[in-house]
Amino acid sequence: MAIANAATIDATLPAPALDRMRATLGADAVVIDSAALAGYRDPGSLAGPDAARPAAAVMPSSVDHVRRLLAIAAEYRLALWPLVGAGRFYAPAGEAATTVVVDPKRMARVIEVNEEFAYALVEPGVTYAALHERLRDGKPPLWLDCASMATGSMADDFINRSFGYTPYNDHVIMQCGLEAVMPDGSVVRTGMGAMPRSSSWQLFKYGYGPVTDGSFTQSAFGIVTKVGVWLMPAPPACKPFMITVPREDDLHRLIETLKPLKIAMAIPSTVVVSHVLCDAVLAAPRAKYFSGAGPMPAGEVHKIAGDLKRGVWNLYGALYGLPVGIDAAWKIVDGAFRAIPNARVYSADDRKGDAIFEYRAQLICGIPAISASGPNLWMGGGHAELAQAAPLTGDDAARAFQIVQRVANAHGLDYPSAFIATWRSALVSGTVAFDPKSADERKRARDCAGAIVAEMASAGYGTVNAPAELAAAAAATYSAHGGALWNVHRKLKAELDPHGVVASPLPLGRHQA
Amino acid sequence: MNVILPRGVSKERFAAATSAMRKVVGDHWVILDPNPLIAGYMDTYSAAPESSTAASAAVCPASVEEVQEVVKVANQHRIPIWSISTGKNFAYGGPAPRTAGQVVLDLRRMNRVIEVNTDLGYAIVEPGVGYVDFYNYMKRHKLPYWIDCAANGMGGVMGNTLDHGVGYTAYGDHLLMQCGMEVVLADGSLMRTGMGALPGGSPSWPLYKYGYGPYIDGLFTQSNFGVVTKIGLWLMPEPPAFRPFMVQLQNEDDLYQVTELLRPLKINMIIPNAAITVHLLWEASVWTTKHEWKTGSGALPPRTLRQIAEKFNLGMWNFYAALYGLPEVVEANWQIIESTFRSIKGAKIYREEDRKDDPSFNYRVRLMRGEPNLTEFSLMNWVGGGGHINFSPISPASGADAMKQFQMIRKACEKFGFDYIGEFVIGWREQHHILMLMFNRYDADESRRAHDCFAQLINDAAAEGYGEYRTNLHFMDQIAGTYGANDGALLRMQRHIKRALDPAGILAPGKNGIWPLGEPPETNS
Amino acid sequence: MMRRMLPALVTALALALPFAARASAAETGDAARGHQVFDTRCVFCHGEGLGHPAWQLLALKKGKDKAEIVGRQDLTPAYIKQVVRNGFIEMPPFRASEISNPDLDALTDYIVHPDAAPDAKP
Repeated sequence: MAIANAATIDATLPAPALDRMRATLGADAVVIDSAALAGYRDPGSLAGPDAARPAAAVMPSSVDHVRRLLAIAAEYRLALWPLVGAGRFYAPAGEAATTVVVDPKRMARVIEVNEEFAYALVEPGVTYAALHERLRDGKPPLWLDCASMATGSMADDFINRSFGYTPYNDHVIMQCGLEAVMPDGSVVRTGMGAMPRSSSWQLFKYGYGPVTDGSFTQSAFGIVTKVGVWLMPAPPACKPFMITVPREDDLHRLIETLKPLKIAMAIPSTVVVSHVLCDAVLAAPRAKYFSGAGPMPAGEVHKIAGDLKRGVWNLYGALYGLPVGIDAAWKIVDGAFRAIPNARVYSADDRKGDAIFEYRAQLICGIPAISASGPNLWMGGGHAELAQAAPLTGDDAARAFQIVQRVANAHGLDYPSAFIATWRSALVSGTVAFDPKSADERKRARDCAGAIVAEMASAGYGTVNAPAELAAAAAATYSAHGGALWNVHRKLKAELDPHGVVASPLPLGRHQA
Repeated sequence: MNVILPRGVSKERFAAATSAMRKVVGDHWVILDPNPLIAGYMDTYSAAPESSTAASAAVCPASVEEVQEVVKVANQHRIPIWSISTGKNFAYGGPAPRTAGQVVLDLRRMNRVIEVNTDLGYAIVEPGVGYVDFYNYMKRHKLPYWIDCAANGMGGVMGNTLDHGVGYTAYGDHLLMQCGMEVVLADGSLMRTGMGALPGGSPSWPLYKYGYGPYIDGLFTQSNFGVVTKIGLWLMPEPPAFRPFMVQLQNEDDLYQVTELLRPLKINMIIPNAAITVHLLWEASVWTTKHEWKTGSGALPPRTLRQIAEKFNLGMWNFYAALYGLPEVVEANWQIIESTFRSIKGAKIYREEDRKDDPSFNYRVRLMRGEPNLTEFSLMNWVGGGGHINFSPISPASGADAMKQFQMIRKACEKFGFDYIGEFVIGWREQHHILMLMFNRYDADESRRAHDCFAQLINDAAAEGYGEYRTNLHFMDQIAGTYGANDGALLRMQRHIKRALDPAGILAPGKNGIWPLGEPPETNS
Repeated sequence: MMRRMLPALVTALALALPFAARASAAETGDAARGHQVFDTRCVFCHGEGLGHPAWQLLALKKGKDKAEIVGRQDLTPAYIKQVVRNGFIEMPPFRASEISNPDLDALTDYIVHPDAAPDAKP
């Protein structure tokens, strides 16, 4: 039979399976071309540019397609890797040979935007850019909380529990209703969506009975096909601001000052406390600042701070609401931070021309933004992002920073990092950057990232986001009570997905082909 | 003498199990029917016969270790156990189990406030901490945080949260404010979620919800997948300014307009707490009873409602909410509130000082300040006789839905001979419509009518796409059935989760319609 | 149904008992502790005035002078305990896990002899 795709064909998937997929989705929705499949990996990952490719990629365009794909996977002992949720493809070679990427590009509809009730219902492939476009000109105007670049997927950020920067930063809290196809073919709608004819699916989070939505985040129990999200009505005014402090050990005082303001929700945005290197990453690759090997010396760090006209620590936040409310809150915020010796307080007008500030200010005011540079360009394209949770206290921030810097430096690496303060805690967020084409560099980076995960866990700072290659190591740190928590995760996986048809980097157990 | 046993459990097996449980908690704390103390576990308010949910025994552990041992015994002997925290889930079944014969696991003795951290604004509590005790704890230690309590001040902080209950301050969405959970699983093993799963614990357990991997806290709410033994809760710092207010609305049709006006105020967080529109008779019950206006059954006619409104200076609807925050912000938002409500013809706005001696406003103010009380129980005196079940459908926060719900429910109430007594509680984008179905339990006919009214309402509401968010024991299966889209996909998934986490099916069988996989629901007569 | 008959039985029992000689404070417990229990468990319904549902009901059914249970002369300790443990129509039962037997004794004593209790703090 005629095969639509280009020349190189990997024969790893049984032909009957491929035939069934083509018959179900249409031949052009099944990809087996090597080069195309390579594109589903991240060449900048710890696994490197030559890591195993998936055996195929499919592009379903309906819930029914997804149902039938799951059935095909079960029948032929394959696993499906949903890009939305599982992320860029990663699997050891043995597993990769029987894993099929599910590419969401044909399930990228904004199903509904409701301005009156301030929500949207999206398919997995919907990007921030696409939703932003749809929200433009809406009345009343609604904001978008972007947890990643404009090209990122809203559904993916919900599933991975990534935080944004506006008051709607917690995408799990702001999610309302979802639909997932289970391995047994059931199409589950959570919350009020389980009631036929309900008009409250995106209005009430809990429905009736146990709240299962969270079980679909950082998980592999089913394939999510729709996500409901609450959107923030554009406030009358938004005031982004920036606080700088000149020395590394000013961090303690800065966080202690921030603490009561976050607990009282006086600053409702995400507050990012960014080390100058983390800001520098947004502007240019490392080579532009420093060409030496090893972690950047303190003198260099201070020089960069001077060149970028910012502190060694830089705090970004915003106030929202009626001007009178903003003014009242600003008096308190301004007063609190000015009391820190050598701290400087800036409003947006004071930072005109500061591209880094403007990028952050856009995100914090509900506008998808793209920075000039990023972690994946810092050092040759390799990047491993990590985040751990810590209490929002000066002691914890200082301690966490000391740990990650020490570990990174011991591996000869920088670790550009920031504290991301939301609701009641801070995420200690950083990047291990490396040259992904060098096996030695990849190993060093992986060792470094693994050591950060382990040491932070020992200190009580658990990892909440990790690259696929470290998922098992991160999960293993949550071992209290005889590993009870992950035993529960695995029991759920074994029950809901007995054939292991939904793949993920998480150590949930997988059916061996 | 009737000795109640769990279904399918022999006297011998039951005796062996309860004997083993006595060894764990002490003889004193295993209460076996026909010990008169078992009366404390009856559902004293529902329409169905008490015997249909009579416990065979109650076991009262004092520690997590005792809970684990009791659960192990129950698992080993395959005895169903139904856990309660304070057991005050009135209108929904109180301390009683779903079916007769289950053993109640009464966690009330585990009543410690384990920690309140004033630096970071959280508390960790055990199951037996009631709102009154929690409130008194905060006052005793002079802590600058408010709690958020349910209208039933006797309720449990944990129990209410796990049943998706709501309160009346800006932190009223109890489940949203929950962070960190400890669970005893069906095999007696212990688990902590999120950061609590780090060996040696983590200071972030009550501060960061999610940990790594699936976020499963929600699975242990309104379910029977485990016995929760600790939760963390975020607390609201005492606000700099607090302005509760009431708006009296003169006409029943005002419900439409007020709901439409409230929606943007809620979505924009001008009003950060529950915005509640309450029907006349709810407030009236604080002042008067039905018998003072009408003998016999049947709803009060409209002209009598007008008389009651006039006599007690109440509106046909009475709206309550509060502003919280910086004084300048409260003042600015107050201007918005005033101009919004003045646009409703005949509306009268009252501040706290305007109605100082009004107990029906006063108790609302106290709730909005996180101060537990039981004034809402005055509803029990409306017809007397102790019958009380809540019908609680969810709908969009729209005027059209409010009117549709109001008319549909009132029509059913009148058909079955009851007054409509309800309120609309607007939360984030939805409204919880709470119907207080009050009846005389000692009148068999009235009880049956109340039961039938409720059953009909479930179907009427579902036909319009309205579902309940929580319910009474006797309607758990019927309501679970209304959430049956895609051939019952959701419930099927829940039952699979049940099998994974409780293969012997011993934990609270039937809670929210979740029966062990493969077992048909037990039916009550 | 046995338990439905209970309120009627209890009422009958209460009426049947003579106005018993009051038991002494030493026999029924510590009134100060009882005051504390009352303030944390009972006052919400049994406090004085509208807004307290039990007071409201008793005022209607028995008149304002019987509405306040604390200090009433016609309530015997046995009756009080019976009502607390079993409930009574609108009143829910209170279990031993929430009001222990000793605390119930103290509570009863306070209700019967409130003058024996100095002001309690919750």
